[in-house]
Amino acid sequence: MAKLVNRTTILVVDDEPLIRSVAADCLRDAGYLILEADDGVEALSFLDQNPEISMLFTDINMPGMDGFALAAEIRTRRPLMRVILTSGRERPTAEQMPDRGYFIGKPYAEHQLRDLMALAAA
Amino acid sequence: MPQRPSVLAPPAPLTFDRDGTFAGFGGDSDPFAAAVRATGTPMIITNPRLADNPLVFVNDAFCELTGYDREEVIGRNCRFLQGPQSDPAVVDAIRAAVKWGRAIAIDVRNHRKDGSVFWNRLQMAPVHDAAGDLSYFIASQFDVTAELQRLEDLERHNADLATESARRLQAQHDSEQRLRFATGAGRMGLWDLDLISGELTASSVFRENFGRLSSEAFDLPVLLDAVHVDDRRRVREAFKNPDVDGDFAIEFQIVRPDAAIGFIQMRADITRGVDGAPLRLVGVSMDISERLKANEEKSLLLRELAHRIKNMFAVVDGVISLSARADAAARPFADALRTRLFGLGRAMAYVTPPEVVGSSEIAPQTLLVLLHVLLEPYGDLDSVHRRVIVSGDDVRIGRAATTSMALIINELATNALKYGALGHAGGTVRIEMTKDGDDVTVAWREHIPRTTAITEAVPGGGFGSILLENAVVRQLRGQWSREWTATGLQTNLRFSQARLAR
Repeated sequence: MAKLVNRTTILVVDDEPLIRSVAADCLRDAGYLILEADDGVEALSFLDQNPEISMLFTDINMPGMDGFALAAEIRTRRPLMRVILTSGRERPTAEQMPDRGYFIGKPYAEHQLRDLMALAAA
Repeated sequence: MPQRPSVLAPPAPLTFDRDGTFAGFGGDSDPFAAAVRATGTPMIITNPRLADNPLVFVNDAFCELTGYDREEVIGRNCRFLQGPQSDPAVVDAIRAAVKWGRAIAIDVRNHRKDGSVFWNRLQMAPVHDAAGDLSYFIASQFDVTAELQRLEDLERHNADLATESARRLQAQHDSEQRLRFATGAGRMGLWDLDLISGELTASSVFRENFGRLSSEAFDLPVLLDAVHVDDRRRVREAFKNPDVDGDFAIEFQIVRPDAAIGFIQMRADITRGVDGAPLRLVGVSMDISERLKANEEKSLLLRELAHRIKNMFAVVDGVISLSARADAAARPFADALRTRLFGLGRAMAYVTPPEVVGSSEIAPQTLLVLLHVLLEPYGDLDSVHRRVIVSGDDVRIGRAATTSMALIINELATNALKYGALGHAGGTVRIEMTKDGDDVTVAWREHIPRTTAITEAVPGGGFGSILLENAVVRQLRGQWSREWTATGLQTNLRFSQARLAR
């Protein structure tokens, strides 16, 4: 049932490799191009090297730079970047979320992730 | 003690026969004689010149007092009045007085004719003749039983009171010891606040709680000063209006002299006046800093634990996914497995203790809530476009049953997504619960709009059915059946409410 999207590139960031690869695989199956980063620093360097990235999917709770900080930093460089945040802990408050940002709570079903990405990409 | 009487000398002589027996008073007109005869005070006269100092005269009052007739006693020594209850020392004293011709006033226990005992206030005096020789003894008696009994009772009562007082003092002392021990062991401070005067009396432990020395002055203003600025107003208000909630109880942060932060709990009984207004607070204080810290640490640990359990599911999911990547044939199985695991993981999050889950999650103890939790990924349950509608009677669901139910609902939902209503545009699922005696039925009804072609695939004849059979029948001892209705698949489940509540 995978829809072929016009090769949107998503930057997937999570410090837990297993979780990250599951999410990445799920999105690849849905037709997206995926770049994976371990942390905020790596994510920012990938961003600079790959201008075609149009969506950020990042975990919030990461050591060093957390998801909020990463999203904020990316927005200064790329104001129109779509930002989707995820976490297994508490839902973020409205104040914590970046403008026009999306949130999906872990654990999520794969179809939920795909639906949200489709919504964000639109 | 009765007073010593003055010596009585009758103005007219008593007349006696030659052998000394009393013949009468000198003339009946003798006023003294008449007085002695008539008085209500028992009186006697003895003649010490006759052998054994016998009674020569007794008045009527005497006979009344002692119960003897005149004839019975005249000529006898009045020792007949003595008996077993007479104090020998007293008797000796009377005998000595007689022997030496002295006056005596003494209380003696005497016996009546009928044997009954009374206290006799004896006042005896010698009478001398013109020559100065001893001629008579004259004595009055007085029944002072009541007086002396009362005295005796009073003394006994006093003794009892003294004993009781000593006992109570001891009991209080013991009680205070126990209190000291208990509060000492519990490091409880004792305090007493007079709400009218504002005077605060505080034990040394109380002061220690606040980090002060026992020697320092400690009154309410000092206490309020020690309270952390964030809590000061609340604490001040509490002391101003202590009986807002009945008992007085308050917890607050303090800043110790060494700038360390502590937590104090103060509790008290409220002493009230007759009008009910609070007059005094008497209570205990406790340093709860350690306890709070321990609670916080426990909370943190539990939250961390819950997070790790959640993580475990994510890790297992990752492992399965990775493993399936390498083996294309295993992919369908892996997908099915991951879906079931996902449902289980969601259910698990809701059987962790309430204090562990975040504020946004509540542990469902009922089937309705669990269904909402499990079906949320399959469609927004609250919007007008919702695809899954849950309704009907609610029943309790326990932890053991939650796992099985999670697997069941997951299975039905996945099938609906793959082959059924949730996989067809406009399709919906209605789940209705109905109590039926001790049982509850769950009807899972799928509706697919007629305009859409229905794939009448038998959902997962293989693994899916096995799992359903296992969970419904073997785990929950329930029953299930399936039928195709005009609009789609209907699965009926039946369980005993008791079984679900486990």
